[in-house]
Amino acid sequence: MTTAIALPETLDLKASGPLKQAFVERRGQDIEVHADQVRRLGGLCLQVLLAARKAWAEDGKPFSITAPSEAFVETTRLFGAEGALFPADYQGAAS
Amino acid sequence: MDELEAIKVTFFQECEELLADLEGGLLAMQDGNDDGDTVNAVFRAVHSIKGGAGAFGLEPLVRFAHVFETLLDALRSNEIPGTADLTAVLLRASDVLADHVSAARGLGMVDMDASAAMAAELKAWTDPSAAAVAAAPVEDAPEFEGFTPIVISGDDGMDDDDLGFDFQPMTISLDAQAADVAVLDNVWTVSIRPKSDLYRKANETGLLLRELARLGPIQATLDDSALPTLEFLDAEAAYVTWSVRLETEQGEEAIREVFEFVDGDCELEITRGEAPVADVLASLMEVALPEPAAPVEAPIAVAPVAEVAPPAPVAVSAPVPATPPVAANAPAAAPAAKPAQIEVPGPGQSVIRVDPERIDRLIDLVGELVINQAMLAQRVGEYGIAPSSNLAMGLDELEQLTREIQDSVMAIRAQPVKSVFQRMPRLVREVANMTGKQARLVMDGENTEVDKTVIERLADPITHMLRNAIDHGLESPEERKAAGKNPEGVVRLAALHRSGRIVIEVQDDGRGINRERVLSIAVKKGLISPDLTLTDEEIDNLIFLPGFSTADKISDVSGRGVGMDVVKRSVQALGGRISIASRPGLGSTFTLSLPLTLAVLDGMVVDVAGETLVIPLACIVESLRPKAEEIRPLGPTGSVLAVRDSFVPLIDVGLTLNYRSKSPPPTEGVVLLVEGEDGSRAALVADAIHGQRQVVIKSLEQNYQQVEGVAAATILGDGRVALILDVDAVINLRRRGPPSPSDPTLIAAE
Repeated sequence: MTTAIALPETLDLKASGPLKQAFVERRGQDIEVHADQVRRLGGLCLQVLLAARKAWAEDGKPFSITAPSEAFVETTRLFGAEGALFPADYQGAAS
Repeated sequence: MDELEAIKVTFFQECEELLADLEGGLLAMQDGNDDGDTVNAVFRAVHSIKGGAGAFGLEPLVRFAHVFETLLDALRSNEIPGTADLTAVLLRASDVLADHVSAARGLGMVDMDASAAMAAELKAWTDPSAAAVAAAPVEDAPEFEGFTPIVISGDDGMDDDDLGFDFQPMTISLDAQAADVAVLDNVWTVSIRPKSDLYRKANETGLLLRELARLGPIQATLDDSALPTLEFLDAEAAYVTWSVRLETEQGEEAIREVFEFVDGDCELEITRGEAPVADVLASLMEVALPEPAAPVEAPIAVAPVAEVAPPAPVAVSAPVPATPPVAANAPAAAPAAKPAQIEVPGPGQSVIRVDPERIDRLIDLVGELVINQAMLAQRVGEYGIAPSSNLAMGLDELEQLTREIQDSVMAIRAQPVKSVFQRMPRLVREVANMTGKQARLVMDGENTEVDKTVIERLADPITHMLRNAIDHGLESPEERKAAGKNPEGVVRLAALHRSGRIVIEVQDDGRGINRERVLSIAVKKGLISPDLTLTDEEIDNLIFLPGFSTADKISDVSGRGVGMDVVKRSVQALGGRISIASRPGLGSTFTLSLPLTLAVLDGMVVDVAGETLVIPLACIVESLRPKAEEIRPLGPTGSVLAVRDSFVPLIDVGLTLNYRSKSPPPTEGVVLLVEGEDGSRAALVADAIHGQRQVVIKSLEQNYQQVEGVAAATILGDGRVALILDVDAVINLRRRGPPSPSDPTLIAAE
C-alpha cells in the first residue's frame, strides 16, 4: 500500500525529529512525500530525507517526492542534493 | 510561529550589544587606541549586524552596513590610514547604522537622504572616485546589484514571492565547470563540515551556502557517506558535509567571513582551485582524527553507498558502543567507521532570557512573602513564645531564608547602568554638533548594577542633565580658548554606589552657574521675592524651580523652560534626589541619587507621636538616648545635640511631619543620628525604637499622593500601613523652618 507524508512549511531543527519519526513509522510501505508546502528546508531535515531515501531504496520500495514547491527545489539544488533526492527524470524536467 | 520572530528579537538584542561594542571601539579609536584588535572588533560588530540583517531581509540595513563594513575592512587592512577625521565619520556612521537598526525594528524612521549621504561619504573614503556618485541614493549604486539580501520565509504568511527567487542565480551545469578550468584563479573549493552545534544554535548550512552564493556562482557537492541509516539517525546531529566550488573575484578572507557566525561550530577548509571532493574530505579527516597512529585499516571504502572514501560519522550523540549494527546488506559500513569526533549535546546556552514580567511577578510574590513572614513573627511574639523555642528558631531560619530568596531575586533584576550609558555618547555628539560646542564624554562606573526598574527610568533625567551640561554648562570653543581652557569641554558621567543608593553624577568643566543671572531671572519671573538673601547653594537650586529657564533664546536642545524642574520631579517620583554644586569658571556637578531598588528596604521601625514610622537603615549612623547636658538651645525654637566633638541639629520628627504641635523634651525619647545625601548630619528625635526590619516598599505616589518628608509606605507585620521617612527631606524641611503658604519664596515654590 502507499502511504504519504505531507512536509510542513518549515523544515528546521524542530521539524527534524518528527520527520524522522514519521518516516520510521512508515517504513516498508510505498511512500509519497508531498513537498508542495515547503518554504524552508534546513540541513537536518535534508539529512532525514536523504536517510529515508536510502532506506526506501534498500527496501526496494518506491519513494517519490511529489509537487515540490519551488523553494524546496531551489534549496535542494543549493545543497547539491537534487541528485540524491529526485529521480533523474524530474531533475531533467526542472533544470 | 513565532520562532522566526523570536530569533529576530534575539537578533535585535544582539544588535544593541553590537552597536554598543561598535561605539565603544570607535570611541577607543578616537582616544588613540587604534590597535588592530579594536579595529577588528569594530569591523566584526558591523559585519555581524549585516549578516543577521541579511538573514531577515532587512535590505536598507544590509546595504548601509555593507558600505560601512567595506570602509572598516579597508581600515583594518591598512589600505587607508586611521585618522581623527575618519573616526569622526565612522562615529556618525555608527549613529546612522543604529537608526537603521531601530527602523528595522519598527522604532522610528531613517532619514534616507542622510543615510545615502553618509553612505556616499563612507564610500568616498574607500574609493575617492566614488565620490562622484555621492549624490545618488545608496539604493541606486551599481555596486550593490546582486547584493540581494536573503529572505527567510517563515510560516507567517509572507508572500511566496519572497522566497528563493531573489537570489543570485547559480551555475549548476556540470558542463560549465569544464569551461572554467581556464580561470582557475577565481575558483575556490570550500569544504564545509557542520557540527551538530551549528544546527542547535539555529544556524543553517543552507544560509551559509546562500551567503557563499553572494560571492559568486557556487556548485555544492554533498557528501552523505557518514549518514547512518534512518533508524539510527539522530535527527539533530550533523552528518552531511559539503564541498563547494565557488567562483569569485573575492579573496579567502571574504569567504571566511561568511562563516564568521558559525565559528567553532563548523569545520572549514578553503583551498584555491578545484579540488576533488575526496582530497578535501581526506584532509579534513586528518584534522578530525586525533590519533593518526590508530589503525585505519578499517575497510571504510567498502561501504556500499559511498562514492568517495567516507569519513567517519561526524557527530554521534549516543555513546560509542551504541553505534548500531547496520542493516544486513551493508554490514561493514557502520561498525568499521571510527567516529571522528563524538559530540555530546551540550546543556544548551549558559544564558537564558526570561520575560521580565515573570521576574516582576516573582519579586511581588517575594515581597508578599516578606510581609507574611513579618506578620507570622509578630503573632508568635504576641503569644510570648520563648526566643529559644523551636518555633522561634524555626521562624528565625525562615527569616534568613526569606532574605536570601529576596537578595537572589533582586540580583536577577539587577543590571549594569551600561544599557543607559551607552546611549549617551551619541547624544553628546549630537548636542555638541547642534550647539557648536566641542564636547568629550567621559564615562565612569558603567558596570554599576541597579534594579532594572530604576535603570529604565534613569535615561530621561541623565539625557536632560547631559544636554543641559553641554548647552548651558560648556562654553563655546572660542570662549574656552579665551579663558585658557582646552577648546574641547569634558562632560563626565559617572555612576557609583553610595550608602545603599545609586548616585549618578554629571559633571562639566564649563563656566559654572552664573548666579547673578540666575538670581535676577528668578526675581524677574516672580519666583522669589527680591529682598530675599540666598546662599550660593540656594541660588544654584533655583534652576530646579518650575518655569525657570536661563536661555535667552529657546534652543533646539534645551531651554524650553520645562527643564530641570521636570528632571527633579521625575527623580523625586523614584524616591531620589537631585542636587547641584557649581564653581564659577570651573564647572558644575549635578548629583542624582536614587534607591538601588524600588522594592525593599532595611529600616528601623520607630514610634513618633503614636504613629509608626520606618527610617531607612542606610541613613542611620547610630542611635542614642540624649542626656540633658548634651542638648543646647539654638535660636528661638531650635536646639542642637552635642555628639562627641560636634553639634548636630535636633529634629523632632513628630513636629516636622505635623503629628504634634509641641515637642516633648528630647531626653524622654530616642535620638537617631542620621546622615543625609550631602553628608550633613542631623539628630532625629523619636519616642521609641521597635527594632530593625526589612520592609516592602509600596509607592505612596501611586496609591495616595506625594507627601513631603515621606519617601514611601510599607505594610507592617500587623497589617498596618507605616510611612517610610525621607531623611533628606526631613533635614531640609527643618532647615527651611515651618512652611508658610502666603510667602511666595523659594520655599513655597518648592
